[in-house]
Amino acid sequence: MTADGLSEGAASLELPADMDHWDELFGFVQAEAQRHLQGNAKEYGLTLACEELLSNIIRYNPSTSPDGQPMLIRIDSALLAGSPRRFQLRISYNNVPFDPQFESLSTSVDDTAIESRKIGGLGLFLIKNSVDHVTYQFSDPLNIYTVDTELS
Amino acid sequence: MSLSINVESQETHVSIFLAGQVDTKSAPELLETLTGIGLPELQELRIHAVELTFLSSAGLRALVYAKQKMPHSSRLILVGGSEEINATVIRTGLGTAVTIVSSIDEID
Repeated sequence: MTADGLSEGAASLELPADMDHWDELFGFVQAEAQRHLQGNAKEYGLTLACEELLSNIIRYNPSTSPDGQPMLIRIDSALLAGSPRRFQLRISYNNVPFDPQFESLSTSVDDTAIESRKIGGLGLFLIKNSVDHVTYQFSDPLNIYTVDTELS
Repeated sequence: MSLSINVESQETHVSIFLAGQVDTKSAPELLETLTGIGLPELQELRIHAVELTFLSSAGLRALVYAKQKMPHSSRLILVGGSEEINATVIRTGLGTAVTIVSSIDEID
């Protein structure tokens, strides 16, 4: 175990935040989820949540940060010690702060008729409702999403 | 993994066979396919998902788009989706608009 409580087997990836690197970024998430959660029903949910986060970061941010630096996405994967053990993916990127306010998002099913259904908000709903925990923080210049799920 | 899309038009319905994953990158292909099959006149659309491994919210939005463009009395049927994909459809409240079956034998 490392000094900050992360277990062995941690892995990281950092790449430019653009669709040219989508396959590598999402592929890393899928590979890490499979490596740590294979056979666990929570693998799909965690992958789904992280896909949404990556998608939102790439699609809704300018390609450079306010200080003119290229926007990069970093993904850190780790098993966390403790009981129960948890698998965590941390996704960070350098750009203007954007707090999706997960704590205020609904956890109930939207029963609006399909004809009246608004498209927006579906992704954030899935993020919140597909994993055990998701948090956001801004540590200048990084937006940091932490997604984790308990290993049952 | 990429997405493979095959379309078969029948007299009574259109079948779309999906293989691979619908994610942010590939969802536009699905949306483009959907826009080209005459949704406003279509009474039944069957999405065959036996070989579909992943469906993101972008894919779900494509299904919502399709159903909104189809006639009110139409049916959108998801065939053979995995337990996880079906659960996602239901969890997002789309289970009332999408008929979920495990095989075409269940379609009446």
